[in-house]
Amino acid sequence: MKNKAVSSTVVAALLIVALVAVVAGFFVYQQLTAPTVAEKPLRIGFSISISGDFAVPGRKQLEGFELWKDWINAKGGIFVKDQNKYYKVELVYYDDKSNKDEVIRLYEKLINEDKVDILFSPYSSTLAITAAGITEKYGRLMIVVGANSDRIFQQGYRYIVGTYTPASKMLTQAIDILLEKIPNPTVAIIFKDDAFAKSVADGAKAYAEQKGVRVAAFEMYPRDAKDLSPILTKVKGLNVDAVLGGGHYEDEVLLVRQAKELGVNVKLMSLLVSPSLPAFYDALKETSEGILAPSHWEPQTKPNINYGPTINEFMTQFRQKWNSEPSYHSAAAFAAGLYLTAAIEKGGTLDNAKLRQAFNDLDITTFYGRLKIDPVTGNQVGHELVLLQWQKGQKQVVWPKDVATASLVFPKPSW
Amino acid sequence: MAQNRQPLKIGVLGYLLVFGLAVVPLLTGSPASMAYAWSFLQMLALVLSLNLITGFTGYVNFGHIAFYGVGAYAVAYLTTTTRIDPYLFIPFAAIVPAAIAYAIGRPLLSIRGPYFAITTLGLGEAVRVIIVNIPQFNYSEGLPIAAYFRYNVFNSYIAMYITVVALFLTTLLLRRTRYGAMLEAIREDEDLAESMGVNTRKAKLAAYVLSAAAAGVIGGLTAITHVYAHPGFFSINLNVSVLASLLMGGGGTLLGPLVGASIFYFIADALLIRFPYLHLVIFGAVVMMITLAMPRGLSFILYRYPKISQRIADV
Repeated sequence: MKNKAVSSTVVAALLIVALVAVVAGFFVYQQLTAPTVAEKPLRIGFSISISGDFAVPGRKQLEGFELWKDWINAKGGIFVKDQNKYYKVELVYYDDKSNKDEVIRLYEKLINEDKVDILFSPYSSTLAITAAGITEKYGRLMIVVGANSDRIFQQGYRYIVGTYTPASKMLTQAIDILLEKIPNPTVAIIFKDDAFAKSVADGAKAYAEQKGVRVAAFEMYPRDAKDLSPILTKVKGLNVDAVLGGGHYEDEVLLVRQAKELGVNVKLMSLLVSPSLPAFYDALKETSEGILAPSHWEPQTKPNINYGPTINEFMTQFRQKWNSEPSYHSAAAFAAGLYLTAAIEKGGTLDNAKLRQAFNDLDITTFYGRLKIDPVTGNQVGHELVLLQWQKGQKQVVWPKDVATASLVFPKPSW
Repeated sequence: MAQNRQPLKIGVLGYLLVFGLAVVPLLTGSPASMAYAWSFLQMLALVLSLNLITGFTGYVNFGHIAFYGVGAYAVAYLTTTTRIDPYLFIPFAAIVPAAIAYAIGRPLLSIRGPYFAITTLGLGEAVRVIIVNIPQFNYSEGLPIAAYFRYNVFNSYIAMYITVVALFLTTLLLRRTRYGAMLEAIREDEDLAESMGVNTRKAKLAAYVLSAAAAGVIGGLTAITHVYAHPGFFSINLNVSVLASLLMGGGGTLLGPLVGASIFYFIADALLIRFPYLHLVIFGAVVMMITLAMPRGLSFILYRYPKISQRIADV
């Protein structure tokens, strides 16, 4: 009896081992017999948040990359002078689940196993700063898009190129407006414990103090905060003129909901990321009325384009391909592709170090706006923000005045 | 009783084989194979380091990751403040976690069985929460270090290789010495061990401190290779993966960690690529089958065949 029992467990274990061996063998076989491509395309690698906290803007960014790939391939690809060849573009990407550890693993994989030629950053500063360490350690060029924390560019990295206006400048326009409307305003700055939001908050605080605006509260909330009422209750007691800050999509929506529940009424409320996304209105409906946010791009802007498609062409192609409206994340992703194209055309090479040099002398204006970097840090200095406001279910550009589509609603209506 | 004898001879052979194979990426100099092999060595090192406490004394430790993270932060913090080669700070990655383990070890190790497991479960999370509230550690962003030194894939690989060899030798030593036997006695019956004259308190604490120091070094080396120390180092998932690998392979043995780490690393990775959504379900089923069939770990399969095991296992 005993022997029989023993042998059955042995059989079970052996079966598992055999199963495992077959599965492993299958994978090895697949690896060995993978087809090789004769005409090698230019491979651009990145990780993107298809799931997790950053999935909403992450997917919008991915749609922008994909559209750029179609656009450039329809034009025959990118010409590389030192090889006298046109390269078609291939995107190599994986879902990073909005997770730093995944980003490290995936960028190692993209560089070492997939052997991509050039990299784009993942969406969000916190993930981009992680990826930037890996690309730096291998000396590989990375176009940073969807991320603008000043910290990324303060590390001394030599192979990064920014495309967003730096985070520290994101709330300066809101402060300018406030100063224009009321004398001696007071503000509360509330922000998420996150590289991006922290850079925005630090920049806003410095700018406010420089302009003589009193910062009555400067409060950070945890990354996984599910309740912001303690901070909001404190802010309510301070009776400030404006609430500035936020973090990303989920927490900003929570911030608005709880501010309404607690009756935190201010004259001006500017968030950071969520109001530019159509999902913001879907989640909040009329509660969104009067809320401001900086935006890296809106279709109403009128740049003097000297490179790439017009805004109309972009909008039409985007709607055609994705059957949805682009956000600035999509536009910036497309523009990052254009920026890279321009640098490759100008540098005439795919050598990452030389390409990074080529960006230094580049000053182009695409449908997304002007692009020019600081040669030392790689941070974006050419691009300008616009300020948008939700008015009666419509996203309107209210600042700067020369591109405004509607006049500012001020003060913000009570909840 | 054959059940209580554990593979040693074949274990040594297995490790020698792995150490031999692990030289190949160095010779080819391919960063891809080095990065792949590095990750395996890191997993193996973690399982070996957990084996020192959980395998030998039977104290199921969910707080191992706390020391791994502290080691990472120790190296990254000292690198960002002094701006010199991070490898010089590896000793601190051992000392700091060891000191913490020594301080908390006495009260902690007086708790036994599931209560010890639950208490340590809180440890990793507690350390993480403390760290994300320290401004010097940059809150939840952590400390990127890529700009402070010139990364070299060879150095990173060799450092992890040496760590694994050192852990292998430590484990081998424990299997051969009186001290190791004391730890095993604690695992089998702590009260009995104490009545036989084993200073269980001291023995456990030493194993705990040693295991913490090892985890700290691995954390420090990982921070260098990832050029970043961040709160993700305190991930309970990693702790559970390491623990599952140890239990699958067989705790308190030499061969067990190697078998466990190999199964975990190669199978889990292959499943992840093939089934991006179902990989955890499939892997969970594999773990369950192994545990049901071989409660003491896969490396004990040898003892089902006394004729073979007498020849190749133990000396």
